[in-house]
Amino acid sequence: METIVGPSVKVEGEFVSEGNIVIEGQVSGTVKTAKHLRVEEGAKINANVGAESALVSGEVHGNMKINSTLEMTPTAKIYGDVETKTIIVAAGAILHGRCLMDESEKGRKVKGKNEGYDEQTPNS
Amino acid sequence: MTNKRPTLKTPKSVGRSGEVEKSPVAIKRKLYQLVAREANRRSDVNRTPKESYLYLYDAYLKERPFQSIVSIIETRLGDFEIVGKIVRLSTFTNPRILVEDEMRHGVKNVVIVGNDDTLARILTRTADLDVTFGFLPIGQKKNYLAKILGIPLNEKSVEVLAARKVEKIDYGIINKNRFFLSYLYVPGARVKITCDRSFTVSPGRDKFEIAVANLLPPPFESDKFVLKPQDGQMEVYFQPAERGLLSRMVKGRGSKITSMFPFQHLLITSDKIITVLADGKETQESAVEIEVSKKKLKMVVGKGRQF
Repeated sequence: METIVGPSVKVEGEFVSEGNIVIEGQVSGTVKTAKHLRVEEGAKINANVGAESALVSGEVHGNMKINSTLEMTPTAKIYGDVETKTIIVAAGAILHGRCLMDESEKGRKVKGKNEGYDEQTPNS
Repeated sequence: MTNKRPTLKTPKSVGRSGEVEKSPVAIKRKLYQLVAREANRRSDVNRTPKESYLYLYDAYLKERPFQSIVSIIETRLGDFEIVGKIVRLSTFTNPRILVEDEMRHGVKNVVIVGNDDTLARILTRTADLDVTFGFLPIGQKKNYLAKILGIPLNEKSVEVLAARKVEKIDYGIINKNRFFLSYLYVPGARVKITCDRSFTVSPGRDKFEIAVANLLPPPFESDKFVLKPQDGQMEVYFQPAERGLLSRMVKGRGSKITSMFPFQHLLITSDKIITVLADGKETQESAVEIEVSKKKLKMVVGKGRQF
């Protein structure tokens, strides 16, 4: 189920959804979803954001914690700290804040591969 | 004025055992016994658990074009051995009192015979009662819900009723006093909406059209509607109401995009009185509280249902 915040709509409070969220209007408070978040061009968020993945084309004032991928298009503006696994930033996008990328899972995968390689290689 | 006492003929059956009671008091007693036994027998026919069906007929079924359909339906109900008590609805019938009274006499199945209006009229008052509802849609007009529920029109609907596939369906409670099943609509109004008591949605200065959809799509943006009447939540849709030509030119068409939120509890408030249309019934309210009922409606549906 998709939640859509239209361009002429203002949402205030703890905005939590189980499905995808599309924001074209204004949101202040908290935004949380277990799935995908799409912030359209012209949209304005004054909130801390939590989502599985996000595509930002609008303006976000607040910290963002994205579990998998955060994609910023040329019109995206993020004023706050970002925590994600993968980030895609298009030319022209603005990010004012710290960017923390959690590489624990990637690190484990790389480490695992290396260990396997080490075991197979001769000691010479 | 003649005070003539009625004379009673001695029934032949009385004399079968060989004892013929001659006194008028004895004959009278015997007659009372026979009448009481017959009344009990008839009562038993209506009240046996096997036939605990109640059929509610809409008043329009008295009209000539529908009489033959009703007649065929009654024959088919007999074939399937699911006949029951028939009550013809009138303007003054209170469906809740009627169904509750019949439930006390063992009715477990209430079958609504009519169209969408009949279904709405009964279910807006009785959806929370612990009975299974069936629907026999009659006539071609105003029978959209039948298609959603997978029930064919007219006499073919009896087969669905006899197959008795029961599904649990969500229904909404409006202002804690009535129910709705299909959709609720608020035409253009300046409102504030609170979803699940956690966030508010304010559409600014514009007037908005609001619709809450469950079994039928909202009157606008029906293509976005996803029919999920069993997921324990409903969706509220709203979009700016139609504006004048000048306003449309200034503001453009972009702001016409529909917003949509799933919810379990919704509160619509307004400074002014707003018109609310729910399941065909129009009311004037200053605030509308809608709650998705935790209890579900038990309804007989067909294989071709759209959910």
